[in-house]
Amino acid sequence: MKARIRFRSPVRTSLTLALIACAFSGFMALSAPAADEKPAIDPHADELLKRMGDYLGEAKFFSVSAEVWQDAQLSSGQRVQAGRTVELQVRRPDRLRATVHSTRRNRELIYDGNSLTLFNRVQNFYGTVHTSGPLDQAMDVASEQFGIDMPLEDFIRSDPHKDLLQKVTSGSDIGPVTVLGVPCEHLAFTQNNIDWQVWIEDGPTPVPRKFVITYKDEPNSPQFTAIFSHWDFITKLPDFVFKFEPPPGASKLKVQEIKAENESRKSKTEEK
Amino acid sequence: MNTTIHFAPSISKPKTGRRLAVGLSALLVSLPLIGAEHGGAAPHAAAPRSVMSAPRPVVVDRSNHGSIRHVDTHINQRPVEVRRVPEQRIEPRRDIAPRREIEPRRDVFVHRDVDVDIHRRHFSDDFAFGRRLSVLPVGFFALQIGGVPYFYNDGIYYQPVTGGYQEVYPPVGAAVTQLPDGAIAIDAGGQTYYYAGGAFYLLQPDGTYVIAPTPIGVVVPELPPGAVPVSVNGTIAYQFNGIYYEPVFINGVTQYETFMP
Repeated sequence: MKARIRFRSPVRTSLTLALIACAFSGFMALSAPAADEKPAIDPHADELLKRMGDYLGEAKFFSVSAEVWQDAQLSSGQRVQAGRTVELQVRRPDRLRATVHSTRRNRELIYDGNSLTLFNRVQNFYGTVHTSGPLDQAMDVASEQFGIDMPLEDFIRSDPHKDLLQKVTSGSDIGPVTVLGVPCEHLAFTQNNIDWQVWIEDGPTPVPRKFVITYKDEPNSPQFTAIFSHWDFITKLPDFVFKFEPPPGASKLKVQEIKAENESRKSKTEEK
Repeated sequence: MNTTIHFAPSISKPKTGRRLAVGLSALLVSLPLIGAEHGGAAPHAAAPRSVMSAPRPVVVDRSNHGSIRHVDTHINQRPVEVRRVPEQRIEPRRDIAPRREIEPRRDVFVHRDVDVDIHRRHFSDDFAFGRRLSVLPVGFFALQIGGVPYFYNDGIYYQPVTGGYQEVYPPVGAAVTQLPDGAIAIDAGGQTYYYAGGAFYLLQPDGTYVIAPTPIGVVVPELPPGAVPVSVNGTIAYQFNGIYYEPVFINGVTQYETFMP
């Protein structure tokens, strides 16, 4: 009789339900996959990266040069470094001119808010695709639809801090160091298939001075290294900087879409 | 029934409340500890987790390097320069495969490490159709294709002419045991071609490499040596050994797709 009476008690019933709910939520929390895990990032490293990201993202316009070195392997197996220079001119929200040149190559990507032009200066070829919108959107179209990824685009986007940390699993502040005589803070981050490092200038101009990506999933873990110089947040960038006029004799080429190719490959992979 | 109403609040409630408080506290305290054992470290924890649990892919190639945002995109097979093997005797072959028409941009992989600029001069880069030589280069081989005599040296083919030899286009059916220096592997239409000096070689079961007819619709990163610029329907193209190469922007850089007008 007492047992029946206790069982029917509303207080006891609600307490039992509360305990079951707690136990269930605890079980769900334990069984949740790593997707819910937050990356292990040193708060100081996160703060410095945020400071750099905000500084770049809030800049109305800027120019910068970067000397880029990339590990490559010759057919003999010998490992060498290939160099090139990247020059970026950015005017938010929707203007970009990027030049990549080396001894034998010189290509440009120009975005004027309405169209994206590729220019091969050595062979005098150009091609144009129509797209519009802010820089982030144009760079996504360039990448996803046409397979064009500009080196160092992570620093051009509107929120570099957010984009850079998207897939990071851990990050730390290695400490102070100088890059070409400029005092910097050295940060190191890890994600699934790459490690990357950035050296951020100390003081009131927290710009990246050096950037290294290590491709852990490629043979011999090659590295991409960029050393930045000539940061300029003062010289204005008028419209003509972002206007492309084909030089005399230039030939217009098709710009091949890669979307269909990627989808075809993706479906084949899924079938396997 | 009256007993029931008074029994529960007067005796059970305080005890149950204490038990609940203790139980919930224990649960709240233990959850993070248990979670940590499952890899659920708190944010900003000092110890990094292992991130290399997945097996390493054999070879990957990104359309470009230097972007973190797109680090996982466009991962393809890497057409690489092929490592050379020791020289062996050359045997001519007659079992020539017919020309293949490859559906453009399907199952075609091209070299995408687009900005790497390393000066790699190869012997076959110097090919010039019709150039005459009085003496063949050191290390040449003699071969016959369909009864026609040829000579070969590292990607360049020669035929005898009055007073010497002249450079000719790579003859379909020629078999070599070693690929020319700088040959690039290109997967197209379900097989691997080795592209060098404007020729497309196919590996045979006996280990030799035979020049196949140039597949149509394949994309190559570089023009054949000595390709001549021509105008096709008002647009620029290049011609080499009867095959046309149309320059197109793929992955933001100029590459060349074979076609027949």
